[in-house]
Amino acid sequence: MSGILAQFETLGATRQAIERLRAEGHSELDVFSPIPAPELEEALGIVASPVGRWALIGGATGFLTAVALTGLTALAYPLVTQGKPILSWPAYFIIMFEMTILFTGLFGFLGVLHHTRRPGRLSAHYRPTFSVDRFGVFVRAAAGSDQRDVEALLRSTGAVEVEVSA
Amino acid sequence: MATAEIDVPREGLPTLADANRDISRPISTPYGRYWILLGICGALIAAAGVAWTIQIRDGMGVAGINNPVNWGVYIVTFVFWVGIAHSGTLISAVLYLVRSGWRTTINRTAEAMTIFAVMTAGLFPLIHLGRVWYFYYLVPYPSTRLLWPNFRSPLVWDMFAIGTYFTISLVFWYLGLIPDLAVLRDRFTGIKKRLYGAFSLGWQGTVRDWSHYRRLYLYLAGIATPLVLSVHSVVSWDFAMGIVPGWHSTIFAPYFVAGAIFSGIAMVITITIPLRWAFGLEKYVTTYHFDNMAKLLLLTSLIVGYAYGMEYFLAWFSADPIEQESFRWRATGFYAGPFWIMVFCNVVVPMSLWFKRTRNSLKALFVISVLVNIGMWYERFVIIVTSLAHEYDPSAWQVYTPSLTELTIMVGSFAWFFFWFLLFAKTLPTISIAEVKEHLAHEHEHGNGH
Amino acid sequence: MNDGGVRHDGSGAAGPEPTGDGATRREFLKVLGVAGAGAAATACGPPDAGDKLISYLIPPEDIIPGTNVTYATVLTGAGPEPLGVHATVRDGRVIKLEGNPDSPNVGRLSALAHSALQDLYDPDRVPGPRRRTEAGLVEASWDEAIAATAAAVAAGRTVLLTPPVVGSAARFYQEWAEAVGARWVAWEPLGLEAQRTAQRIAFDRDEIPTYALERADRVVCFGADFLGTWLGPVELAGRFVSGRFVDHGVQAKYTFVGPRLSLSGLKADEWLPARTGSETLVALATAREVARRKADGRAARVEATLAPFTPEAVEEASGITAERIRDLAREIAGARSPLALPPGIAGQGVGATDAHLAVALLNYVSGAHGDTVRFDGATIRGRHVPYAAMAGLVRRMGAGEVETLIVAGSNPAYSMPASSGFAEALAAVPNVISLNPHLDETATAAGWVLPSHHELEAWGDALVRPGYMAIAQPVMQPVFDTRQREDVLLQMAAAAGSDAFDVEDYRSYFESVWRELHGRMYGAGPSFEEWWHENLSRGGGAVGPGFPSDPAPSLTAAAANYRFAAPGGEGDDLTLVTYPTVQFYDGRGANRPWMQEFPDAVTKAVWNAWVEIHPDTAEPLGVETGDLVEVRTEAGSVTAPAYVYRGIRVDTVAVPLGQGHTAYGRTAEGRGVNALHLLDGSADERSGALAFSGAAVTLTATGRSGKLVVMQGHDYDEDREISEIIHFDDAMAAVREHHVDLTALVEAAYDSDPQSPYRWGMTIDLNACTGCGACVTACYAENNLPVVGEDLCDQGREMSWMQIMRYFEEAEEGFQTVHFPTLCQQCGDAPCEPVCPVYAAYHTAEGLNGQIYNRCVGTRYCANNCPYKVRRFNWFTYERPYPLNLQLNPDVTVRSKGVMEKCTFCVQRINRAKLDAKAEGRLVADGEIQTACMQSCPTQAIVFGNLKDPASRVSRIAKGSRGYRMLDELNTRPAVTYLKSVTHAALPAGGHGPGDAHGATESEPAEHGAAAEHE
Repeated sequence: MSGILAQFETLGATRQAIERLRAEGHSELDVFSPIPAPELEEALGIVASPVGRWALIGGATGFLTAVALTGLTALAYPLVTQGKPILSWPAYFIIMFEMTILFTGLFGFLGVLHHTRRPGRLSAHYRPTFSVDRFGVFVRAAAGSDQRDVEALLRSTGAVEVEVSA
Repeated sequence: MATAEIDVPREGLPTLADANRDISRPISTPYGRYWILLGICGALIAAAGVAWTIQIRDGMGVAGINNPVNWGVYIVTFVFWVGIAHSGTLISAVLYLVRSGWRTTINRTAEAMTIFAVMTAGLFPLIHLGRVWYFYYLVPYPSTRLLWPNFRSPLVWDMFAIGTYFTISLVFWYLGLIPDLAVLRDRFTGIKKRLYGAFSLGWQGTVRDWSHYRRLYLYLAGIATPLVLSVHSVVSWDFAMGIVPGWHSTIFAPYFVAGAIFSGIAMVITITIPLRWAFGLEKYVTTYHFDNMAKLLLLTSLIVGYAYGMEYFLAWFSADPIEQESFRWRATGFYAGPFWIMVFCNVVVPMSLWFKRTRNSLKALFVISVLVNIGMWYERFVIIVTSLAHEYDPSAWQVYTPSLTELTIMVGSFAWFFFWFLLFAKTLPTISIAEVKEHLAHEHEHGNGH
Repeated sequence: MNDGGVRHDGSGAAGPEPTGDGATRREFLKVLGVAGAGAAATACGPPDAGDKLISYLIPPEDIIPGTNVTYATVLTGAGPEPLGVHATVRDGRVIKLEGNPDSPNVGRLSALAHSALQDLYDPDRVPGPRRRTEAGLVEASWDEAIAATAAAVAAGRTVLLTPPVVGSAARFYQEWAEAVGARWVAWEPLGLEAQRTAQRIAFDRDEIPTYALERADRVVCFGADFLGTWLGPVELAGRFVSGRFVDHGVQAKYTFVGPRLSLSGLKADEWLPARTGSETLVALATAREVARRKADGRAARVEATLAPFTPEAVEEASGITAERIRDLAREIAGARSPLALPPGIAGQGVGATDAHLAVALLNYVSGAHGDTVRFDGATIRGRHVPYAAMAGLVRRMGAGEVETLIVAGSNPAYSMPASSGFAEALAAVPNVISLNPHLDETATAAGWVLPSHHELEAWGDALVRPGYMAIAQPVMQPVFDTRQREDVLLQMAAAAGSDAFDVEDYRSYFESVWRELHGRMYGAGPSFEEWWHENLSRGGGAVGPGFPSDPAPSLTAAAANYRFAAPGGEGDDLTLVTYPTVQFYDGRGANRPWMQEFPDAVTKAVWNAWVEIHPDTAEPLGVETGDLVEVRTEAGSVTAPAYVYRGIRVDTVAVPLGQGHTAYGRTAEGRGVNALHLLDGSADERSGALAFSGAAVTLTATGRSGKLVVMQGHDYDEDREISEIIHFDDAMAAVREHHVDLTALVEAAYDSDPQSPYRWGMTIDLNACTGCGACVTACYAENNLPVVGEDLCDQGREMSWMQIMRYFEEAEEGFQTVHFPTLCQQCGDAPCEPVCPVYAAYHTAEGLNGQIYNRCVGTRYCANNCPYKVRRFNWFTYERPYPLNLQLNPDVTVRSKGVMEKCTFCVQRINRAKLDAKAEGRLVADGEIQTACMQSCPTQAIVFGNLKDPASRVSRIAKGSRGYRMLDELNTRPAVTYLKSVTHAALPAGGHGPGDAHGATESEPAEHGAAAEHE
């Protein structure tokens, strides 16, 4: 699809570009960063990631699984040891705790994969430099005047390289 | 993420590109020494494998253990490695939560260490099993006769705790690796490119990706912290739940956790120093980092020392002659040697870390950390063996000396650990490139900002 | 005791007695069937039952697959006394021996008797007739063997050497000897000749009296190991303990006089450590004082004889202060029924007859003679020639006056001291024929080896008490191609042309003897058949009245005016004591793995011989337990590990007999040293008895440290509520104010499923336990326990589910000993259970700590967590060379490597009894189940039963005043209740052990000894 990919060398420049683009009404931006950059998230107005919900559900699942596993197996195979009750919850709690944590972590990871649509192939606009030190901003813009304005804007904000894809 | 405290020397500050290049250099250029080391490890692992095979064929009798000392070097080494496994997640998670930026350059190594240490530790419960071919009896699976494991047994708790710890540490470590794998993907060509590409899951580092990434990283750090504390607590309960004088104590959980962190930090130092030298990473891992680790070492040493004292206080305070005799014998009986080695290495030696000169001398630090590792192995030996050898019924008192089989397998476990570590050092960035670059970036942006 | 299987008498499963009334002709024919098979099976090799699960399409009547059949028989070769046994036979092979309640051992057995099974199934038995050639032993057929040996016998100048026998065999050997013109010599290495001689002198009676220990209220023993190896330990131990039944208000005070505390000595309330050989003087001095106090007719008769032996006079020679002798005499004189026991083997020196005589006089003046020492129910033991006579035989053999020597069941080449020159003389005998089952020291020198049946494969009988004859019947087919000893002799005689015997085999011979006995007794009474069957099924029967004799024959003038050697001065050199042990006796136990791994009752050492020395003797030599020391006499020297022992005089060195075999089998050969090499063969001149003690020795430390595996980590319980001992007065006080509530349940009874009518429990009376170890061996036999060997024992890997700890307790003077049997306590609150990750250890509904071998993965956590250390782990898979594996109990799993095992109160017996009860729609009755250990205990120290029944025997005893539980403070709620040991010795206020923790390190016991030896 048509648009413009600009590369920046600094966080500041990238941030500036993003803010001005959004001011111009360009909200459809793909921004690539070699480092985690809260500033850019802010600039893009990204709200908190939903990964947290995944983790929460995972935790609950893990806990309940452990309750079922320990409790039901004890009832299915009821042997007394040292005069302890068949359902020795204090002991079983350790299993619950561990399972909770296990599932929280795994679900969280699945969450990230889901929301980042990974594993998957690289976007057409990705450039290897983005894993080195360049920041990349791709703006969807129809060919023509619009495209020219954007290019001007990007250059003015200090883009070191601008590619136009028709 | 941490920014303010970051302290990388200002002049000659590497660029982000430098970071990429420097940190991934060891991956591209092979060393002759490396293969020799790898070979030695392989040989030792093979030897241990043979020893274990013989043990399985003939029976546990080839080990030196007996009745009453039913647990020996195997369990000692198991606890040792579980302990080592604690620094990694601690440094990654706890220091992350408390925003200590200095962790950045060591957390990757520490996490890798954690994973390999757990992989090593995990072998021993199997090795010490009388009928290892039935190990799956411990796993809760629906057998045809509906037999289930006993969830009241500390050994089952162990299995769950260590299993969880391994999985979560792996996820944590892998998550941190993904951006770096992407870096490598883009650096290399051909088969390497495809391999790293596959493992990087096609990471392209859009800001949106980063936001999910950072969020999960935070959560993992959050849950890994109680996990770290739980794991060695559970391991300590293998003993504290026992009725054996010298085991049956409520201080064991904190005591073991402190010991674990203590030994873990020591192992990180022991490994990082040669690594830094071998891979020329002086620019990234500086005395500043070692100074901090040394302080942590000192702190945990004080806690451990306190625990030793407290054990004796409790024995005295309990007014239980059996408990008292057990501890008297521990320090003066057949195993006095190991006991005093333990005290010297874990309590006396680290006191030298009060002095900045010691903390900043890598030679001194290396020696100290190695001594601490030795001391911590003996600590577990003292706790496990001396308690069992001198129990309630005096007529059953009996001492234990490790057999060649046990020692071979123990040495093999070290080889196994370093084998994996060498592979890691050769194939993956030993420092988190993304995090380093993050700091450098901020330095470049507003380096003069503070 | 019978497992509730089919009784041989067919009287069904009712009643605790396994055999008895109502034997039918059918039953009898069964026996004949077995016997016939035995006699006919000339080339059968292993019994069919050995290699097939069920070996018959239609099994013979007497083999019911999977069911125990019990036969009554008697063992005459299992120690000093004949022991009636019930042999439990399963699928055609005997798997367990238990005492026959109808015999003098009232259903009890000794460790050595249990191990007779390992003798029967000994892989080292000679599998068939053998002839010696230059090429060594070669197989031969029985026919040629008989022919050849018969020719030798016919040539004349034959000597038949057997152990002493009582019953038909005695008559048979006599007749056989006459028939073939041979000389029959019966010999016993650990004989009673000195006592017989003394008896003859004193009362003109040479049978051995019975010792009514149960009636005695004051016992003094001058050295006899009457609880271990002397005369009739199983019977005497029972009598002794019933004389010390505190709960009935009696406990005879017991003093041991002698240089070394033997198994019997360790039970004593008081020890008078008299110098070796001075027991005579102490006895005389005591007798003198008693006589002075009694001043009755008897006293008057011996006054003159005893006059020179004042306590002061014997003080120096004996090392016992006059005051202590006076105290002893005062107590004996004041006692209602005192009893003095003579010196045994350990106390048998050159003055043996005098010693016995002195004790006889003491019993005479004290009033014991005729009261607690009785001649009306005399103890029957076979007569035999004294050692001196054997020395004569050796001379004749050496001089070539013996053409043929037939050794039948005796092993003189081992049991004669090397100094006697027997081995050399044996080489000078042209024809040596061995009828021994083993290739022992004698058989290896034989030209013909004709292996005989084991007792359990053979017919025989034995007079076990006056008027009561026990019958030995074959309980299974022969394991090897062997023959009944007497049959071989019969066939020899026939082949040698004698027609003296008109019987085809020995069974019919001795049955004819019984016909005769029957005729003499009943004349026309009950038919012989019935009588015979009944006796057979019961294991014996009355064959006549007891001795029609006076319990107290009068003292002869010879004895009254006997000249005893005057008290000598103090000798300052070390003297030697050699003594038999319960596990090896005269050496016959040495090739039985159970016996080698049997921890000696005194030293707890296994798989070896040792040298006992006092700490004060060891210290200057710089010797500690395990260091090799050399003991040298004129006769020779042995080098063995030292055992530093406070229960021996400073000037005495003790070495056990029975080890150091040069032949006899894989287990025995080269183990330890043969103490007989130290004896110069000097004998008591009156009786000709061999002097086992008194030789002067030199002791030198070799500087090398040897290996002595001692199965006792530490000798003191450090006041930990383990081995409890209290003073008699306290015990009595407690008994008086203690009332047993027959309705109250024992606490542990609540530790089983409320639905279950049972909570199995046990009581062990430490006051009754003598440490004889019969229970330990019974457990090995019942539960298929493997023997692991010396090295693994050394590593603490022994497999004994039941062990007897030997704890020393400090007394005001010297020390007391508590033998402490430990086994799984079946805790109600068991630490071992919850730690098992796979539920291999769990609590059964009946309160047992179940152990599921198939489920065990071998984490060994349970063993770590067992405060009693009674769990055993299979470090290896242990092999049992054929045919030892035939003894395995099919009711008990054989465990393999990697599995934890332990005592479960013989759960297989519990289940069997429950099945029987269920079939009859009732609950298991009290006493119906006996665990193997309980069944075997000669002193009935162990009682097993249901704690949920408040009136059961075990409940009542557990509620007794002496009851306590091991390490109770741990709140493990054990099902085993121990009853405190009771002593007359003054105990320190503290109670037991040198309380200071310093007692508690590995190397200390020696120091304890040193510290505490202040007599």
